[in-house]
Amino acid sequence: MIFEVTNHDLCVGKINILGVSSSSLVLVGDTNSIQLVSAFDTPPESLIIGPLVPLAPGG
Amino acid sequence: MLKRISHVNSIDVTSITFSSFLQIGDSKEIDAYSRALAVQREETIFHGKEGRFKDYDVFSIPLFLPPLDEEIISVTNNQKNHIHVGELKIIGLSSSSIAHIGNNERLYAEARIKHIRHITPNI
Repeated sequence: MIFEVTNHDLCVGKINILGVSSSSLVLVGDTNSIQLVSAFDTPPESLIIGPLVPLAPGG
Repeated sequence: MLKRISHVNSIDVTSITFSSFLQIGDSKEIDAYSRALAVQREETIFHGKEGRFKDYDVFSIPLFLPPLDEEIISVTNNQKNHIHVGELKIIGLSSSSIAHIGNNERLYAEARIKHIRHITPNI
């Protein structure tokens, strides 16, 4: 693939964003390669209904 | 890689958390990585040293990304290289997120989150 770019000034008036979360990107400019990945896990067993038992102590 | 000069008139960012960042200007390589155990409890009692990442496989499963092996011939002619942003308003940047005004060459961001909800029955 041949990719030809003519760069002039890049002007943006106003950017108004509520939230940018879990490996997301707001880019105003050029780049070569972007790799964004996110994994989140809420299976049924992550809902615990029972007395307050703290999770196993961390390292 | 082309170098650009970034001009930003006004920035209004409220919170930047968990290996996120706001970059005004060029950068070469960015690696952002974050892991989180998101525990929400009815009784808000937390012991600080709870939870081990190795107990949950969301933190260890391999995440496959498309390989960057496409042959690209890029021809750039740079007439002007300024970036002008009038106003940038962001309320929240969280878990390895990036707001970047300027050029970059390579960017990699990864976030792994395990959500846990803990409800105590009223006996």
